[in-house]
Amino acid sequence: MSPPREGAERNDAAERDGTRPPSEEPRLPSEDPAGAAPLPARLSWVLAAWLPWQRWFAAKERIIGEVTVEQRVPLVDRLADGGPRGILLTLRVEFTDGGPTEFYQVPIGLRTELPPALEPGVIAALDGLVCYDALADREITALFLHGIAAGRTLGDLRLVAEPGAEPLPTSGTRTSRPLGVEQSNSSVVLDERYLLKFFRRLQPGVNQDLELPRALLEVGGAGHVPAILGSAQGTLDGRPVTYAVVQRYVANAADGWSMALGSVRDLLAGGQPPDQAGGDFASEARRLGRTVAEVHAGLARARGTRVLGREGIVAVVGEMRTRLAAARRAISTLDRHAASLDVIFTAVETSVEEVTIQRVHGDLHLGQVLRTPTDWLLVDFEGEPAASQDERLRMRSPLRDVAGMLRSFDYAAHHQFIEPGHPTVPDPAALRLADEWSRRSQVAFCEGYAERSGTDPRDQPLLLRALLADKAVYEAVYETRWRPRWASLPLAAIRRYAREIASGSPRAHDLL
Amino acid sequence: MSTPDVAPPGVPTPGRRGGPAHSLALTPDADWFKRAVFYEVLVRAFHDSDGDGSGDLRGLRDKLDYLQWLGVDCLWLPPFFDSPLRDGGYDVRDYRAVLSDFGTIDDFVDLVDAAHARGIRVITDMVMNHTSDGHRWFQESRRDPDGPYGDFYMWADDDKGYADARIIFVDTETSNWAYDPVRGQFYFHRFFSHQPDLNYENPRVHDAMLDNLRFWLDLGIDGFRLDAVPYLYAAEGTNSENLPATHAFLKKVRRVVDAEYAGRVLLAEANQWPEDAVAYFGDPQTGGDECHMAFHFPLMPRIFMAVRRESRFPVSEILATTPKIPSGAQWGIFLRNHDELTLEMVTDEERDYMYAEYAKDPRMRANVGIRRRLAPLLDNDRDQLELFTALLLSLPGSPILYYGDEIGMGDNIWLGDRDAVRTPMQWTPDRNAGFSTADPGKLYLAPIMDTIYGYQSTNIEAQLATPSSLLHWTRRMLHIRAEHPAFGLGDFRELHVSNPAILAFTRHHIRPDGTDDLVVCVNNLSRFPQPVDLELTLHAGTSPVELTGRVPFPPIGDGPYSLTLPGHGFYWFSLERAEDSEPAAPTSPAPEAHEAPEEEPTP
Repeated sequence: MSPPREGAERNDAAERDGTRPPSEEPRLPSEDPAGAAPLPARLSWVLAAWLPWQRWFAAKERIIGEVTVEQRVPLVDRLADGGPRGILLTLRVEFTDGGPTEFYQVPIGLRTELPPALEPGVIAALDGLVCYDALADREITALFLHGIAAGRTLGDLRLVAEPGAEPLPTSGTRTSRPLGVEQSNSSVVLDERYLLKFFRRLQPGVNQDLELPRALLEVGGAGHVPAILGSAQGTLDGRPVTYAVVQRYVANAADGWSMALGSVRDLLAGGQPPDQAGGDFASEARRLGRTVAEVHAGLARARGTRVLGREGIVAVVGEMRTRLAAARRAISTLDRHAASLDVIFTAVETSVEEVTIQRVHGDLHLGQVLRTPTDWLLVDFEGEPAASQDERLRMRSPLRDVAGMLRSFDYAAHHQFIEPGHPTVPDPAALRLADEWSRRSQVAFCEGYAERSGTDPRDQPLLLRALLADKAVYEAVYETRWRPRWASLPLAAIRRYAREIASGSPRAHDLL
Repeated sequence: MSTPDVAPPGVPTPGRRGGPAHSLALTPDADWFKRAVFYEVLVRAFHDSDGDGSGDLRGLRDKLDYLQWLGVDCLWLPPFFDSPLRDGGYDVRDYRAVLSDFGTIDDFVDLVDAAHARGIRVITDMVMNHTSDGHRWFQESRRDPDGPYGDFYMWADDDKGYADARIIFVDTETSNWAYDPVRGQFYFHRFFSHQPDLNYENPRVHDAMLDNLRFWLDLGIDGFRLDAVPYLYAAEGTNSENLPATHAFLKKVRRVVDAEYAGRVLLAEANQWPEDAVAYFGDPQTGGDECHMAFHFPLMPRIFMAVRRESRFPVSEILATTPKIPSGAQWGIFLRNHDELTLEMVTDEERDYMYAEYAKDPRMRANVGIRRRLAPLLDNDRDQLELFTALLLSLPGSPILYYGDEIGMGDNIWLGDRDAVRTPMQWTPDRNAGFSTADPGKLYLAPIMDTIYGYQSTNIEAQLATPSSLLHWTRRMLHIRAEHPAFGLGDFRELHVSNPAILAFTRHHIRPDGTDDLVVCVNNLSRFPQPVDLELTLHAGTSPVELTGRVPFPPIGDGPYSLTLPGHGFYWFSLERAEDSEPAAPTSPAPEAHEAPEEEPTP
């Protein structure tokens, strides 16, 4: 899927504007709960009401049955000096549907009096204390940084520095700034130098976002990803689990999505063909293609490759068919394109003999790449938010990442047309320009990828087209459910793919 | 111009008959070149004092009041030496004579005197790599291989040597060797074939060139732009650029300047990537023991690219990959000069892009570059002209303005070679643009006459009369820059913003009295209005004051500092601490933000 991330500026602004109401809890008299105080009585109940409103809460369509505190790790207690009491909670969330239980972490703070900057994070007033999401509280977030530097163990939580990485400071953190853009995790920038990222939904196993950059470092290919400096590890259900990771903050970077939107804006305002427009994105896309190819090569070196034979290919295509079938139940307009899409799925099943697979990024799009002054970086290796942990660890064709980027160029090109205030019927000339921008960027990306990998993704047109169609189907379902205004983007793409398949050989090399 | 034996009335001449006279020296000041705004002016193009159709030294002297008013600190004069003028004077025939068109040695001393009286310094080009083939040394060398000059040039029996040295003037030259029928040997030349390279393996060449430098330093000149320095030495198996022997010779030149002429500067013209160019500053342990200054060539095309792409990254990238320079050194930065907008220091991909964007007509190209002036390059868009100038005046380095760009002069791409950007200065809407009283047919080049850039609409007189003109705007900016030593002496840190169209940075300098001069520059490279959040919380409590109007902006708080900028807009803020607030940390918190790069720059 392509970037649900808007430009970071806008998100920051939205947060300041106060999408959540400020706390109106009456100020309560301070108390001094000595020692390891029990958790406030109604906490579980309050969190059950609060969780579904959090962006990172994955099971929005399920009804919560019960929330229980599975584990609690006391972080700090300075209530007596007017400071916070910080507790890291691991929540077990059960649902009324009886389906799988999910686990989330919520670092909470409790204070007698809340500084204004923390007001947006208020959860509730409980037992005379204000309970809030602690990620905005520097006194609590800095503990993780300093704890990692000191190698502390807090209850079940082990704070460990990454071997060989630059040392973290043990004290003296001055600024802590939550970033407001993530989906499945929450990040805080400390001293404009460190990124502390909490994986909100806890799934047993080492998080891919820690594992894959490490793997790249092992094979000497750590360029193109942020440096890992430390992590917070615990156990869940008797298995290791990653709570948080500290990376070097990639300062002075812009995400690919905002860069691409800037380029499209320039193009549509400029009245020049895309190959002559000053803001042409092709050279950035080419460079990005090289970067992705280098990261793939590094992951292949570090974790190996396998060859998927006919049987495996049929299984993968089966998943695509299942996804399409499910999508058709939700979006009836897909019915008329199903036959065409099936042509391409069948073509892959019958004529692709083997596919090389390896560990990949898994959820690559323009919002997951950062342009720094000297490089493109890939970030957030967690994989698709909805995928299970086992899903994420699967080897896949690197073309799946390529397809993700190609779809993302298509999103960026057409995003303007769904923005509020845009005419319902877009100017056909502008649409043509956007199509051309998308195509140029896609071609340049593939060319850059080919320069480094030695193979052009377009040389596997059947597989690439199937992956593009599958991705668009996934997007169509996601957008219809969560962002209906965006649904027209993948639906238009599916329409186009179906038309192209119906009108000619799906083997055409110039499919982009 | 005829040799004036008698000075015109009203012009004081220093008493230099009968002995080597010096012009008045300015107060010694070791750092002047770091704070200075340079102004490149072609003697031929500025003002003609005697009506022969060519500008001259007296004409330039007559216009010094204008330059003082504008606010420039140092003039850079491309060569005015005796020359057959087959390469704009970079083909020197006699290092100790003024080209007769331009005047005399006396005129030069008068010019330096008059400039110094206005607090303006003067530097000129010294062409060290080669001479004209008309130079007496070459004539002697070809005639008498065993004579005193026989070994002054790089002679060989064939044209096979130094095969890895690239050819620079690809439009005209096919080899770096030329055959001389008189001597019956080939001679080496990195530039035009009429410019034989001097043989620096010969110590007598060192002595001869040092004596040439001393000659002008004795006359009071404030320094030299050392032309084409990377090429002084050649060696087999190398590309014959930036060789250790070249650096050793430059250190020798520097020792002479330091010992005999303190306060004068050496500016290296080394069209190289920054990591090679920094070598021309010499040893950082000593604060620099080669050239005081070097041009930062790759920055300039990237400013154009960044604005055209509406993305700061081309500029951020080149600055992030520019190594630290010694404490006593300074970059020279520019947008345009008398040469083509050189594209040697960009990748092939970037070059194609620049050609496509800024030189659509092939006639706009010259060698590996674009021969256009600033205003036509920017479609005469005032907003962009201001943005580019603001960048030039605020990025790290001493800015070098090119004559005429302060009024937005145009170019004439139909003229040969690089003459497109060397037309007469446009003073008035009168005949010959007020540049000369000569018969228009006698002018060395016709002034620009098109409807937009022509002298009848674009000239200094008209812009002086219009307070909102580019000229007045440029002058105001120069004066603001002069009030803030941070622009010249301060460190540079890029501020980290997530909007790719915004280039924001701080310049910070601690004055001798211990107070901070901290300037925040925010530039919108996009044609559209843009928002930006600046992370300035370490300066919480201070109120930014916008420098062009002294308007105080809201104080910085605990959160991001939000600004909106109009298309191609920019702000310069001074962060002035409120009297009663805590001492603010002077710089942003990422201490290594601009250390030497960890990775190789992208070529």
